[in-house]
Amino acid sequence: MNSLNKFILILYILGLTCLYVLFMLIPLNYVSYSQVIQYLNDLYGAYKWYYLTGTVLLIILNIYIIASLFKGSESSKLGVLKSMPEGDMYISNETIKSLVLKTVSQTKGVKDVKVFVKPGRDNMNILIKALILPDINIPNTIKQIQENIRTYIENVAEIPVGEIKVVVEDIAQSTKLRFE
Amino acid sequence: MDENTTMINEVGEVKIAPEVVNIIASLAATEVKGVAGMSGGFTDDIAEKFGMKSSNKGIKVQLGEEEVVIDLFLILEYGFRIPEVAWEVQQNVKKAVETMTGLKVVEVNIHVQGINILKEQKEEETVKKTK
Repeated sequence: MNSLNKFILILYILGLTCLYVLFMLIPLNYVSYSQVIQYLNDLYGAYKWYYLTGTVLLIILNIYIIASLFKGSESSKLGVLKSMPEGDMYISNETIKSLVLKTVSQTKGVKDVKVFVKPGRDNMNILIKALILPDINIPNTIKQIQENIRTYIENVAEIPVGEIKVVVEDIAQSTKLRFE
Repeated sequence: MDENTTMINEVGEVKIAPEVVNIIASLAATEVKGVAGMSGGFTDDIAEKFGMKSSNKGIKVQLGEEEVVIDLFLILEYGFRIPEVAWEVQQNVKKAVETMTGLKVVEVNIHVQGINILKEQKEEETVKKTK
């Protein structure tokens, strides 16, 4: 499911929730039942065809949402293809992201890591966004991360790595307040 | 799903359903070290939640007259070399399907869909706890 579909689904769920809240308020006498019925009757009398169009559109929307759930995410279909003697080997971008994430999280002093991969012409470019703990040498840590990723990905997945950009977004708080 | 493959010999004919190839390939793939499991789609995940095991989870089989093309969608373990695991899976699946069914495996395509990090993390956590 891509981000547009997720956005549509969120809007749809919010709309339905508002409708349920309205239904919930009827027995609590915040909204008059007779008024709701009167309003619906007026609306039906005046805009009969809008009713039909609205319901048809909602059914189409439901089918669209269900279809997008079954379709799966597009990002998992992107990746690197390699030909082998017994058939092809395909490594998805999600796999490369997981490998990078695991490698980065093993580096000391790095937190909240986000990984983005971008396939180049004949290599894979990697962008990492992370928080770094205070009292850690940032250039050295970044250099270490870059070296670790390049060695690991080229060794484990045999994918040539191009550029590895590391963006330090902020300094992480090393202590967390805990209320008990 | 493809039709059954029929092999005729002097005594009679042998029909092999695609599900048979699915199960053989699935077992052969998951027994290789470094394979965490098969990656199923949304329907397979829902079926699994209800306790139904899908025999074709993460497998696509194209049966021909006497040959077969297999696509495997795998989740691998962290720490293994992907091309080596893929090669081993291809060899194992090809050998198992060819020996058991007599069909010729033309291609075994491997789709690495993800890495199982959770297991690794759990192991690390238990090591930390024991320390």
